[in-house]
Amino acid sequence: MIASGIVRLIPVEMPPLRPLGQLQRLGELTQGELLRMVVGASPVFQSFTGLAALLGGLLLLFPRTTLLGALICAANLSMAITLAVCFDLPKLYVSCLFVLSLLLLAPDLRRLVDLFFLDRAVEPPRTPPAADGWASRLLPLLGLVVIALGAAVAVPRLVQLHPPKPPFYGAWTVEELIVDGEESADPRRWRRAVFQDPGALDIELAIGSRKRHALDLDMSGKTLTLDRRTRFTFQEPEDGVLILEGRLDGRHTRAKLRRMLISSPWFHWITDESRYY
Amino acid sequence: MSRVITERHEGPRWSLATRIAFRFVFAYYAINSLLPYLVYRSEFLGERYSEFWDVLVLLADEAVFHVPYELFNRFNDSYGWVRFLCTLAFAGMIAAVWSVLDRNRGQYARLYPWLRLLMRYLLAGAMIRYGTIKVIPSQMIAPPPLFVLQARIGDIFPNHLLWWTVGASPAFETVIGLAELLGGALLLVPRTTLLGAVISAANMLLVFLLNMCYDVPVKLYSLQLFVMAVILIAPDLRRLADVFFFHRRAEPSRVPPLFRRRWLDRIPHVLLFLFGLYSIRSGLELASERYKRMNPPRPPLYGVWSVEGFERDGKEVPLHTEPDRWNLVMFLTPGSLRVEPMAGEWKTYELGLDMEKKTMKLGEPPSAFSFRQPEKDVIVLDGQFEGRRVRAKLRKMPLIRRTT
Repeated sequence: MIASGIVRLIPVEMPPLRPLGQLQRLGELTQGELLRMVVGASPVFQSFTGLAALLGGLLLLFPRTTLLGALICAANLSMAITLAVCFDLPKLYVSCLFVLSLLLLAPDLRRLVDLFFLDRAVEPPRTPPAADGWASRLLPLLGLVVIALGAAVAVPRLVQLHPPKPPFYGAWTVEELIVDGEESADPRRWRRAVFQDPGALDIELAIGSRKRHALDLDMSGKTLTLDRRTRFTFQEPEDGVLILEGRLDGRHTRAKLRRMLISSPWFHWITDESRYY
Repeated sequence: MSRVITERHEGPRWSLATRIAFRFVFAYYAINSLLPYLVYRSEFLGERYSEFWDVLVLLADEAVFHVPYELFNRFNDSYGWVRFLCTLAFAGMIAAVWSVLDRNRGQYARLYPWLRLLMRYLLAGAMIRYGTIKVIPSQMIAPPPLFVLQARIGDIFPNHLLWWTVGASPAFETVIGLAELLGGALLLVPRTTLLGAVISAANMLLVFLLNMCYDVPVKLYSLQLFVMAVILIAPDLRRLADVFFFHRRAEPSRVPPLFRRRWLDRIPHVLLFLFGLYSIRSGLELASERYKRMNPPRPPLYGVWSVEGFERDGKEVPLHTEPDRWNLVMFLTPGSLRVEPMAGEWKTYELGLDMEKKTMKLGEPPSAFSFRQPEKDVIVLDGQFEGRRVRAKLRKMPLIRRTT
């Protein structure tokens, strides 16, 4: 639990949703891929799930809090099993852990029933939990080692998963493409543009093919050059809108790009009504 | 002398913090739940009361909050937030005045069981409502509607993305519904109220975190339900600590009776239990109606299919080459077939499907196809279409393979 907790507390188990991934159609994912994508898309949520697992695991390390730890682990693991079965993910390992947590609960079953179902006086356990012998003293140390190892793996991975973001980072829809003063209907017109890796712009055409172009951005001169040849000026009339203007294949081209929803900031205390059902 | 007797009957003096907290919580739920319940019995009073809040919310917004949104809709999120903050302020004022006037009282053994009953009623009702609509998976449409499958991930609101993820597994929606329903049902019985509150708190904490992380609109409400569960747990914190931390004897919980007479004391609890059973029944009925409405009988081959291979006059047309090569095919409603070409809008064709002869007629005038299904998730179409021989290999999109 500690190991699986730490790699989610430091959110690296599920990779973040990067802009190129946002062009995928939802139905192309399997259930398991969808689940992992969605959890990965919110690193904060992933951290919370890690925290819950870590808490259960840490409480198991001390005799005094073993029962509470086992209860929290059992709750976590029952969710994990449900997810594994329902979203077609590996089930064996989480089931084994779940059985272990139940075994830890078993000696106190009577007390738990008295507390939660019968509302009777709960007697103290017959053998009060105590740190006896070297083994139980070693356990917290072992926990520390697992945390350290987990963090040693997770931190570099986190850095690797979150490389510096170039300007305009995100996936954009080409809302409007005016070629020589007319809305383009060419099947090879731009449909989506993705700023993901520095020095590259991925463009998807209406016909569905995608190509990566070398990108030179001059933020102060407000120009953008593709493949060292095609130069556009750009302006941002409002947040989440980008207008490119220049000559593409010898024709005057003006493209209005709008940030795709998931690439836009997520959190709103107050939600605008279009997001309800 | 009388004081001693009272104390023996009604238990020891509460700490100052507990008393103030009790007054605050009581005042909050009196304004938020009891008062509207009474006021809306009468249409006239109810309308005046709503208008009173409209005025107050606008005033409070002008004076303090300056919410950058339209406030005039009572069902609006921003209206709800301002009203919530006003209610908190009212409850704080009432608690302050009450604490000064009633400073000599040691505890609220008469009011406390009633507040607890009210909280059980409110929380159980909400848990049962949310539980039943998931048990019969109709809150998050499961499986997700077909138009969702062909949407780009980036075009979906985060909260909808969460919705479709839950919907992608109807079984999962049922299980989390059962967890909520279990929490609600346990709250109906006095003895299992603690367990019900613990399960409800765990559920609602998860829901609240999901709402915060995926921008689901009901942040405030899920937080309120979580807090309600915590308030129900709070009096038992000492017992929980005795059991889980100090490992000493824990006494049974002691909730003072609602009435001195035993038979009378039982009645409200029995009524709550009956209310719970009724809510479960009506919740399930509502959910099954919703489920039926959202899941009309499906035509054969229902689903979105990617066109993996496409041959025209014996020649393979690769992806992303010709604008009118099929990209996706959707069997959504009986008698029609929708096709998305590589570039351009979806087209709808009339469809005559014969599952026994394995033929389909498409469009007007009809093009005749034969089809075979070499695997469950693969169809191969063969026929004349718009004057040319077409052969298309379709594969069902992965997300709904297990659920349709």
